Amino acid sequence: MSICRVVILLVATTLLSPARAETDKPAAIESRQGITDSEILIGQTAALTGVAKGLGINMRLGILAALKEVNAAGGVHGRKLRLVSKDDGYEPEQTITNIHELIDKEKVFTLVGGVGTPTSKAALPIVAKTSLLYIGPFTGASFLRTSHLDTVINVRASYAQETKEMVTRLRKDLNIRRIAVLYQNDSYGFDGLRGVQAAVQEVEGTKLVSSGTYRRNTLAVKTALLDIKRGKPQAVISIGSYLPVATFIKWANKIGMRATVFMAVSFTGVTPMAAQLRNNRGRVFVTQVVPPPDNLKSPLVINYRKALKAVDARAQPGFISLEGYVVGRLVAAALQKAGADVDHSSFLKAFKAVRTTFAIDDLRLTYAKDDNQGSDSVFLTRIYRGKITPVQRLVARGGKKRKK
Amino acid sequence: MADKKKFRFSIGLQLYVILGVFVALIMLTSLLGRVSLLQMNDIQKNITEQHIPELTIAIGMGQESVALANIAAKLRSANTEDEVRKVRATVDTHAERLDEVLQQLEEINLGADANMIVLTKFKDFSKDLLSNLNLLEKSAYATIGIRKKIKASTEKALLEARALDNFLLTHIDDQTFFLNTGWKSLTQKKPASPTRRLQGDTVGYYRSMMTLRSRSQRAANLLAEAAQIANGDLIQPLRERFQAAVDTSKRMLQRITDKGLQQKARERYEAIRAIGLGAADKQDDPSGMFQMMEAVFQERDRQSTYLASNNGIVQVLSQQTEKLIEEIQSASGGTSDIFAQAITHRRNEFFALSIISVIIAILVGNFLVRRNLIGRIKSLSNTMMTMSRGNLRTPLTIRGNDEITDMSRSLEVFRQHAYEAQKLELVERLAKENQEKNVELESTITKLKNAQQQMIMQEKLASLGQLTSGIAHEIKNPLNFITNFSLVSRELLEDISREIAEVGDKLPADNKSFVEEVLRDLYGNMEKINFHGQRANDIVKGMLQHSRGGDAGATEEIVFGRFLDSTINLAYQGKRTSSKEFNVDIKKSYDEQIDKVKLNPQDISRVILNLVTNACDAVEDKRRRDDTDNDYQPTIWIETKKIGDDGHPMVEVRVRDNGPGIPEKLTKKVFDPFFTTKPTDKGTGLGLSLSHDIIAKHRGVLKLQRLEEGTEFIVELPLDAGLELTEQSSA
Repeated sequence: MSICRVVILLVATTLLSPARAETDKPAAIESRQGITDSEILIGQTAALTGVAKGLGINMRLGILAALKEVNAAGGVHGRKLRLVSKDDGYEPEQTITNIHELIDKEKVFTLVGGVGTPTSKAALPIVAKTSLLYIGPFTGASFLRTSHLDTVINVRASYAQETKEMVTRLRKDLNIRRIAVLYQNDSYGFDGLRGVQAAVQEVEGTKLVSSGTYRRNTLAVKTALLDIKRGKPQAVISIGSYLPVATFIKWANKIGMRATVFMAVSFTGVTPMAAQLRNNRGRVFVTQVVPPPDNLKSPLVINYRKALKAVDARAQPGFISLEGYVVGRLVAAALQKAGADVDHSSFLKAFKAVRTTFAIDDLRLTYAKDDNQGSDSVFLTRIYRGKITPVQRLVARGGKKRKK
Repeated sequence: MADKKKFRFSIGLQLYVILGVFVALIMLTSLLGRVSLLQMNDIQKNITEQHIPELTIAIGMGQESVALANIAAKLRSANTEDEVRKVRATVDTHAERLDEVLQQLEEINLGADANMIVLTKFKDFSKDLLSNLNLLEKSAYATIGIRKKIKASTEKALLEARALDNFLLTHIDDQTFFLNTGWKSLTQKKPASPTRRLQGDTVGYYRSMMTLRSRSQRAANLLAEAAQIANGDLIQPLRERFQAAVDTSKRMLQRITDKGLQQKARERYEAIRAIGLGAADKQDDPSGMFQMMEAVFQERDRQSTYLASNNGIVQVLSQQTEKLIEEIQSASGGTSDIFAQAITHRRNEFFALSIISVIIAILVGNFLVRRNLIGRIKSLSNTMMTMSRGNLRTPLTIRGNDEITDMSRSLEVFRQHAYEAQKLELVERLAKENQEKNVELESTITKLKNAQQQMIMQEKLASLGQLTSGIAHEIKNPLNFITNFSLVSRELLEDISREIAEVGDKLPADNKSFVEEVLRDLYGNMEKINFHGQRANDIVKGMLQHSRGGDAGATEEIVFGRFLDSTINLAYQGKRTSSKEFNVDIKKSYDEQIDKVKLNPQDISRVILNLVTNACDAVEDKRRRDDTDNDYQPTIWIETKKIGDDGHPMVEVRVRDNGPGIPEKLTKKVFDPFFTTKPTDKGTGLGLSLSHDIIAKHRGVLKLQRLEEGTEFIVELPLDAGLELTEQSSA
């Protein structure tokens, strides 16, 4: 009978319909992940290899120094701070992999000391989906300051502030108007380029005379040099990393741009750059966002040098590791403030009260609900024959101050 | 009594009959249903007890085998090892169940040898199915493994390509710079001359580097593309393209002059090549990307074969299952036939019975309910509606013998009564109308009589006026004589007095004084005669003026104060004439602003006369009634006042007395003609009525005001009232 057949088919189809696919959602982020009774785990992804490794290694060193100092003093609410670092080689794709691993596998409580703009740009959407914070990235990119106010906590001044200072000083100290830009062809370079353009427009009321670009992680800067030279600039502001920028300066000198003033933003990395420019007698200036690490009058610098020595006896003090040190100290201070039963929301609250100031020794970092940047200070250094000296203003030539 | 004897088919009874018919039908139907249900239940029970377990097993077998076949497809589409493991677990569960089902089948023992053969067949099939699934699983794992490798290779190829590209980019950058500037290294002392740096070799080299860069990139892209293809046929052409790209790259690579760079670039190049084609010394190295893709598609083909085989098995299995089920059913075929027959039979009976029920219901509804009950109620309601509209004449038709009949009958009785009542009401209404008309007639007659009386009175008054004027005229002449001669006599007396005064010394003193005394008396008498003669003249003049009422429309401009004085005087004298005791204090107060007023003096004097006379009558009346009260001083006040604005100046005359006043209920009637409170011989009841008319004719107003003591009449007249009158009369 046909009825029976229908019954069989009906039953069969209901039973054979594909079993419900088990949902493969990632494990939910716990707001106290990475915290045990004795330890708080902190994650970092930075360039530890490649052309930008000088930045990542020093940043890591500074953070380690700060954490060691804090741990030696008993930790935060009885917990030791431990750092896990991963190498992304300054490539955004690797950053993404690292961030996933740090959050989902290592289960770190917070992320600190990322290096670079394109890498941070890649990391941000992932971090923003979680309740973790992205603290003290080694970049002054504007997008980290205008949006994601609940995800990013910055320590340093922005590139826009650095480039503004450069253009202002060029005009005031040297009366220079013809300015060109060398920039890395990624989000870091574009951000800096926009900063310079805006500053030149504001201070001089003019446009850049020329600009050149090079590919990240290469030394192919000579085409850019040809482009820039065409504009006959008096000063070249570079938004890049130390090796290509140093190469650029060397070649520029070679082809006769000895009178040109070269300026670089903090991210370039003044210490490794100085090492590259040992024979350079031209005018090379680098802006900084932390005080000079050889200012022995500053308690911060004294503590930093002590802590650095404790971590690595051979390490030389530098701006980058000092910034790393400040980031490490800031994280410890915020954890201290958030209390013993800290979780992601109380950690964020530690920064986002109406107005919160963290005193890292004599350095003050101030945050508010709509302000996620701690410091606005920009400092000026000069590289001359491979030596770094803090300066108050730009000088005319040969290391001597310009006289009127 | 006759009703009781007669059989009565009441509505209740009718409804019971209808209900009874319905209930009987329903009971019959349900009885039939119950019988057939019982029968079917028996049949069903039979089938259930005998054949259900067999069917369950057969169905179970079908299910499990189909499930296994479906799972096979899932194995093929699994992307990760985890997924394969999960599917495998499901396969195991279903395999277990299939095993159980087969065991049950064995236990039931189908008895027939044929069935045993079927059982063996089933077992074989399930074994095949499971072994196929195992093969599929293995193949799925293999595919996943290869896919993983391909993915890693692709990623690696892209990384290598990027690294290579970075070298080349830098190298090309250097080359560009050299072409432009002649500088090659920082240690160089002098830049190369333009002829050297721009010779063909340098440019050709530059071009080779560009080609190398693009080809190596292309090779990596081809690998990425190959990893994505869904069609195995595309592998070969892609492979050829890759081969071409790497061959070109190799040729270009050899041209790199910098040995160190060449070495580095070569390493990258070799890596990319190896990813695509495997080791250089082996033909079709399976670790090459294209080989791996081939392997993937081979595995896919293999999986398809397994799947096809599986499907075949399942098809046969389901055929077998079906057959088994059919056999089980044929075993229960007899009962099934009875079952089917019973169903058909009962169905027909049910159908017939329903049709009959419907027809009966329609008939009953039509005859009993619609025609008999509703139809009659409707006609009754129509009749009631007609009656409510007032048509009560048509008698009702009465049918049947139930409550409606009673209602009709009662309604008929009601209708007859109502009809009678309607007729009676009509008569009453006519009578009432007649009466009203009679009353109206009577009042009209009374009014007519009054008018007649007024006319007679007016006639009388007119003739009296004529008579009075005649008499007055006649009297005027003798009065003239009296006054004139009294004057003359007075002059004569004066002459005598003068004479006496002259000759008086000649007369004795006594006589002289006597004569002088007589002369003085005579003189006094003459004075009195003249004064009273003058007074009589004035009275006659007033009478004449008053009686000349017929000259309506004759207006003159007169000095209002004097006009009032003479009129009041006339009235006062009139009263004094009729009663010697009469005494009244008349207080006048005239507004000085009013000088001349244009009016009809006869008419207005008549009004004033009337008002003053009335006031005199009132105070006299009061004085007489309160004779004991000696303090009462009858008084009449007469005041004039200029009122109204400049456009319409008016004069107001107030005539007030301190008489007994007018009761409030009479105030409205005062101006009616023939209304009077005086004795019939004294008043005509026309005075105020006529006065009112006169003032109205002058466009003025005559008002009555009740006071605490006495009455006040107010006359308001326009200063030029007469002008209007003249114009009217001349028109």
